[in-house]
Amino acid sequence: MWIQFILENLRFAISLFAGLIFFGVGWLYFDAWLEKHEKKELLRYLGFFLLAFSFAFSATQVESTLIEVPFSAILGNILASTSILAKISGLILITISLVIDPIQPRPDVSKFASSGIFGIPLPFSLLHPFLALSVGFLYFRRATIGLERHLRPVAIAFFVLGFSEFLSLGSFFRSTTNVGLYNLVAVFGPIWFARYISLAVATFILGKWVFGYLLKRFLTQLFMIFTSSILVIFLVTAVTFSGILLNNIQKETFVRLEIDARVLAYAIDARKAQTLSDAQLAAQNSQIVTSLGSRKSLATNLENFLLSKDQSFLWALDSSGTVLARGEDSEKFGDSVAGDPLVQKALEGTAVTSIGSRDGAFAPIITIQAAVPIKSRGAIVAGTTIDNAFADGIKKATGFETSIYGGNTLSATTFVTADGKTRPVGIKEENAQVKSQVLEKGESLNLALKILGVPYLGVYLPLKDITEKPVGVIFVGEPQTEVLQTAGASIELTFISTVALLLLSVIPSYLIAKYIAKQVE
Amino acid sequence: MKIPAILLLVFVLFISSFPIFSRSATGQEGGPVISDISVSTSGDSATITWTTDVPAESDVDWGTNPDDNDFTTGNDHTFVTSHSVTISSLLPSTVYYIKIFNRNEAGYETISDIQSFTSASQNPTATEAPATSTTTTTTASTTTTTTKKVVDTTAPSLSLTTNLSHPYVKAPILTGSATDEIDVSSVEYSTDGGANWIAASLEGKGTKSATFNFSLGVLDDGNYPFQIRAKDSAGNTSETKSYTLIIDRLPPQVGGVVFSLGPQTFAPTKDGTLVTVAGLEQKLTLSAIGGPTSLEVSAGDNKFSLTKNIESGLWSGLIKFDSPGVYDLTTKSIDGAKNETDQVLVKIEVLQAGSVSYSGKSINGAEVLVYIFEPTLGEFIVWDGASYSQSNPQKTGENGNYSLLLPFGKYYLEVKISRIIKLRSQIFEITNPSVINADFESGTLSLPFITKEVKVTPTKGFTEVPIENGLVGRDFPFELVESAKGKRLISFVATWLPDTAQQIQMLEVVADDTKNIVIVPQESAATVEIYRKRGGYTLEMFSDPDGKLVEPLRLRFLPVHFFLDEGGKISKIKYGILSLEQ
Repeated sequence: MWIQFILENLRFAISLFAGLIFFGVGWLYFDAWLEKHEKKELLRYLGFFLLAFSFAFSATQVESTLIEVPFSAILGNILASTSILAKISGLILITISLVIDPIQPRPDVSKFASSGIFGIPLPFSLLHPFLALSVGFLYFRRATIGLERHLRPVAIAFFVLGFSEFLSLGSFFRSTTNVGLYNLVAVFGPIWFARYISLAVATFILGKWVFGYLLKRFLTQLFMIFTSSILVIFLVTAVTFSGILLNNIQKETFVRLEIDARVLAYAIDARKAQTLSDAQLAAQNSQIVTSLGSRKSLATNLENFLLSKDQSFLWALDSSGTVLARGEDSEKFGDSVAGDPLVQKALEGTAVTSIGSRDGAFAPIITIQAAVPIKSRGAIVAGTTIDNAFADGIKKATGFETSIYGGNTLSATTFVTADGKTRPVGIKEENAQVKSQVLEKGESLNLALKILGVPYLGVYLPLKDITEKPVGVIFVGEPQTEVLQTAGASIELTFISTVALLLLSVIPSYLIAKYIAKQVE
Repeated sequence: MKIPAILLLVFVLFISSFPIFSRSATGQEGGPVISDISVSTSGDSATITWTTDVPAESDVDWGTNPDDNDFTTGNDHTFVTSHSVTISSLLPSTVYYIKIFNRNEAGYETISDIQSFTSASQNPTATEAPATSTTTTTTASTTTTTTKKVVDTTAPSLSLTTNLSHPYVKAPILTGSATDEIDVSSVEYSTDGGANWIAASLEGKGTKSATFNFSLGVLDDGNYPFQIRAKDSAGNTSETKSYTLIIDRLPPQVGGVVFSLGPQTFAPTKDGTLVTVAGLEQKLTLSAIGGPTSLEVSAGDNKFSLTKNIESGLWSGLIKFDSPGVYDLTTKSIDGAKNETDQVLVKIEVLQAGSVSYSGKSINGAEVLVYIFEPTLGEFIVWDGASYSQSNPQKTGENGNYSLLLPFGKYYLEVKISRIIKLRSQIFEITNPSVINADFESGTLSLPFITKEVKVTPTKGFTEVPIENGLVGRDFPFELVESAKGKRLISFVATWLPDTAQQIQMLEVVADDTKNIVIVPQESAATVEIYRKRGGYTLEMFSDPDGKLVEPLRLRFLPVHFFLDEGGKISKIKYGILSLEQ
């Protein structure tokens, strides 16, 4: 989770610095335009400013795997579209400005004929790599064929930028069935790294070039220092803030999960109380008590009572612990449950409730059961099964995903497998810490672990029987990516705010720089 | 008269020389206190009377020689406080010695010291007064006796009189008797191998011979083992061998079948065929009624044994096919009454396992590793095979074979033949659990470190085998389920299947349009009603406890859905979880 976070911030920083550098180049051309008001300069500085905006906007785009629902889907789409449009528009403007700007001829070099690079039928979104390369080519032409050799770094920067933009097209291949290709183009894969490293290189080359000029004049020097400082401050603030945010969200997730688990435990306790209350009502029910001598009518009365309550089973026992009748199955009786400690307590005259576990078809079945004495005549045992329906009910009431284990085997859950309909009932939790701390010592546990290969943050609470022996586990958990996605929305918001404030800060920093420069002059 | 008077005097003096009976302990810890022993003689008999402080039974040993052990015994086995024992055939004017034994109800015994008396003289002549008139009464202070607990080391014996050699349609009252040298205090029975004991009704408790009866209270078909034990008051316990009561109402019958791998259950193809792969071990779970005691599953020469889960009542076991082919999976179930039922369970198409080879030679020990795409991470991770009862990575066997059955997901496989030769599949996606049995073959011209891609087609080699079960187009057997009349969609489910709740919820959504009902075969009405109530389902649900519809409709895989036309004929059959669209 943290690796993804670091990489995401790295991408943000590189994009933002790229924006700053292009802004610096734009400012350089803008400064030049202020002197001469030439059309070519106008197009060029506008182009570079658009590129700067493009990189600033793209910095706000958090990778889709980290964020499930962007801060605002509409705003996210607008920013993404604006970024592409600004990039293409900017590159086109720069290209036009370079095309219309005659090359300063070298005395001994014949004129270079432009090879029509336009008109190549490519999808709109695929234009920018070619445009970046064409800008690089045009600069290169000016630097090599023409006299403006100082533009050679700009050409190289644009070539590298074009390469970076080509690599960005790798995202179009993420639906490939070729494993090697997929692994290359995956998010945070080699191509992703190469793209941002090359962008960083292009930014560095261009930055070195542009700052060489910008720092020659006091006003621009001051302005760029202000802008860079602001950017660094904002960047550090944003990254630190989002880091603290993620850390806090992780901590809060554990706290919330722990509360959720306690709420679930409380729900189970409430259910235990309800079961005990139902058992007591059954033990005082005159129809049940008076029919203790007649198995058939007792079974009918137990069944009627059971159907009026939300319980799974209801038994009437004689004073030796023999089942007189069962409400859930009138055809099964006569067996003894005297060995059950819960029943023993009830036969001794104490009303008790507990958690139990028994074998099921695919996994152990966890039950909440209560036993209460019938005055000197036996006992009533009532209980409910903690199954998927119970877990769904908890989810409906509280909203959180939960699992109940019988021993270390998943017994009931709200989680579904990748097919969206199968509940992974029957899988085993083999984590040694869960086994020793929760199932052996009966203690709660907060843990980051993998379930079916997916990293989770989870809280485990033991379920204990009447002898205080753990018979199962309550699990409340959340995939770690969901934690990051929760943070991702805030991180995206932070990035957007940072860029917006950064853009807004350009104006006052210019005005302040201008004021200081004037004062100095 | 003189002789008896002298003898009486002697006897009185003799008796009075003995200390009064004393007891070292009283109550339950000791035996009864014997007092007021007196002997009256008349003719050739003598009546010995005495009292005890608590009810006790008594024995009196008597003889002419105090050192002789050859005493004759008179006894009275009623628990009273006033005792009287008459001994007869006495020799006239002979000194007799007596010893009194008293046992209280707790089994503690007091033995008196040896007492003596002289029997009456010769039978009276006509001139003499009748012997009966010459009654001699001796009032004796009781003497000190030894008190001891009778050491009863013999356990009661038990016998069951109910004939268990034949099956019963419903549970009979089981009767029998228990005897003991001292007493029988209780008779109990256990149906769980002695973990819990239930008291039987006992006639003659506390006596040496008692009769008992009890009922196991079962109605379902099955073999019900039980044991009986009897106890005497000394705590001696005897336990019988394990008896078996056989209830046989129905012949054994297998119902719903589930094939699974971990949490994944498998539905058959639309023709009702289950597809699997050679070499893969799958779990088979099925329900059965009619009380089978053994259940054997076979397919050709393959035989698989199933065991019954006592708590859930379901049978389960592992099945595995070594060779590919189409198999009829059949069951042979035998109940306690030796009724045998053979059923064709399902048709299984076992596909050839995938293989790994190099230059045409099978590779033993090659490693097949499965990766699954994890959407939340956006990357492929190693598939957790253990949760699905499969190994990952998997080593190929001697024939270079590997067996995989993957659940829904997006995958790719990587095969390591050696450190430098690797093969890889393309990325593939499966929407239903599918057999993966692609052949990974590497030629000699394979380049080291260059991973060759092999095309994987899920369930390679599967061809649907149409099963003519003849059900489509037939009338639905409404006569077996009157309540189903007029319904268009009849679904069969099992309450023990985890996905049933979801299926019913879906069926409820379309209930008004489809006029559907749910039938649960081989489960009791109470079980179904409580399941319906607990789930809050409004759908009509019925039970078929005797599985009357199982064979007519060949109900095997559950859930299964029968679509009926206007005339009540079966127009379509669908297996597995039905989606809303379906």
